[in-house]
Amino acid sequence: MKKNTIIILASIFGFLFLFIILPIGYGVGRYNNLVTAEETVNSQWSNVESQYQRRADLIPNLVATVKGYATHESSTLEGVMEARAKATQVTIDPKNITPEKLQQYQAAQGQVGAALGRLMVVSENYPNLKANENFIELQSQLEGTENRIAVERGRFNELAKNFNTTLRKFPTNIVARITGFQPKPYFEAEKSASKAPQVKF
Amino acid sequence: MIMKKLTFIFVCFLPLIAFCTEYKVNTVPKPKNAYENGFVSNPDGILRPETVSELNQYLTTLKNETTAEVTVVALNSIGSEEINTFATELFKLWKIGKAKKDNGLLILFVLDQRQIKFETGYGLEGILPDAICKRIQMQVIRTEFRTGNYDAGILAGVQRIGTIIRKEPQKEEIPESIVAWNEVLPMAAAFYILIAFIAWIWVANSILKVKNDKKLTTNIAKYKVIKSQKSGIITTISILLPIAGFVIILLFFKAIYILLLLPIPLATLPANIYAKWAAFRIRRQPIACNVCDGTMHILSEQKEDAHLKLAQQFEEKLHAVDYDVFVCDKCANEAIFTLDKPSSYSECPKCGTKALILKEKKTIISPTYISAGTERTTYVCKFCGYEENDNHNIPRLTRTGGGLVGGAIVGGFFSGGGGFGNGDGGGFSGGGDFGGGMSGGGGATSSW
Repeated sequence: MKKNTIIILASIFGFLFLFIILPIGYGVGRYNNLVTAEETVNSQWSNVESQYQRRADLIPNLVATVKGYATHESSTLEGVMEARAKATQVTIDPKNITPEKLQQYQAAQGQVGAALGRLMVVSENYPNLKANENFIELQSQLEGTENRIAVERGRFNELAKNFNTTLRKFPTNIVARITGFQPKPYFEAEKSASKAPQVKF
Repeated sequence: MIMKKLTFIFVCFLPLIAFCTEYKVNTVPKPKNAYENGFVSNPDGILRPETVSELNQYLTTLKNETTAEVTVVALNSIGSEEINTFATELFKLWKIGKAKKDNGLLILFVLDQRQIKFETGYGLEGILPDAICKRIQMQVIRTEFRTGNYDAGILAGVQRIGTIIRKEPQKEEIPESIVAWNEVLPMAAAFYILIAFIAWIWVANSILKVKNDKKLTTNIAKYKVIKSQKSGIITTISILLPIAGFVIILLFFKAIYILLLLPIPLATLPANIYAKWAAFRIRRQPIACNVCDGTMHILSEQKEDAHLKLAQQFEEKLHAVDYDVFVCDKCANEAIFTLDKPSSYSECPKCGTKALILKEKKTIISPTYISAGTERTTYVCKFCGYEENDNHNIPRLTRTGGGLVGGAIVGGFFSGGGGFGNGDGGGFSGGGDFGGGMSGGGGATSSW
């Protein structure tokens, strides 16, 4: 073996290392980062969903309690149950979450929120109901759940934003394009849901 | 007259206004900054100092018993900020509660909003559901707060919470180490490739030097030098690098990364194979004839037998010696080179063939604690059948603590190594900070 052959082999090896193995290794690292980030977004989505579910689980109890006192409010109560039934049908697989789907989901849950808001306004008219221990606790649970929903939604947005930023940065965007990662949509701040429903006279 | 009244009212409220700083989430003084066992942030002096120290004492015991971190924050004003959001943000900023367990509770009350909020960490949501929080606020705290008796209200509330937390059985903690394999492995792989590359270059370089070395006249000599240099290089890389890596990892990284050192010897495999191949080629390369001006070529294993003596053929069969036979293509001059192979055979004193081997080892007289024993070893030559017997003394048995000493050294080495890996989980006992818990907006809010 001559000296030249060694030099040639060494430079081939060096070339392979610098331009193929090293970039591939780096790309694999970037890809794994993306996978991790996406998984955190997905698991945060399940946090969001479970809080909405918690609210949905509270509704039957709440409705039953209100029914015992507020006998003339069947339309409001039905409205709540109906909105709940509709909302539980809209589910999202976090793996392929699109802006349209999220909007649909949010709209359905917004209906529940609005219906619950009306129920709370109505319940103000029944002093006996307001004094009921069970109702007070359900109400506090509902408040807590609404608060949790807001928190988890905020965190989802934060994580989705992180993911999207990583996705769009160079050179990760190249890896993302090759491997087919999609940006995550955000929850929009709902004007109707965040504000208490207006009481009209 | 009206002006006077207004001025009077203004003067009356002046100290109050000056006193009322509006706190932002990041301007609330953290109790942990003031002193180690602080769980109460009371920057406006709403609570009496005695109450604060009583709360701290109570909450420190609670933390020591249950690891739950309950923190009380009393503020005059947070401006127009919503108390729920404020509490969640503050909880997140301070990381109240132990990480992973998320067993923190933030009790925040704001005087100008007349609101109190319990923000429960994820881990406490089960023990302290919103309804229970609400009940404590309504039944215990609100009545006292309405009469302005904040000290009594908060003390009673905290004690009630403490009782509830204590009731919950403590779960055993499962220590969990987070290793970012997905980030480490690609780097490690690149590192292995680099090591393989370096080993290969090093070996190739030394082979080149040996090849051009004028002092090494025969192929066999070059072959031997390459082999020994190769094994030297490979051993250096596959022993020294892991040792250096071991020390570096123990000093700077997680101990689990030591596993990454295991494939390092494997990375030298290409260099090893290359060196073997190169050495083999050098051994077989044609040489100049020492009689005429022709070149000599090596014969294959089958053909060379015709040029070798019976004893030499036998040695080759035993893999004790390797013979390379070169024959000149012009003058039929032959040259035989000998390569001693590492084997358990030695030279027979009778026929000179390297075929003498240990046949048996027999204890004739067993050693005791009083007298020495005798052992007979029998060597036999596989070629000529010559047998050689040798008697040795076996030293007297002694009662020493040799095993114990060895054990102590090994034990000391390993226990010495243990000192590094214990860095995990320092954040809690150090006391300088909260444990790193998370909340998700749980808890309850009440007005008074």
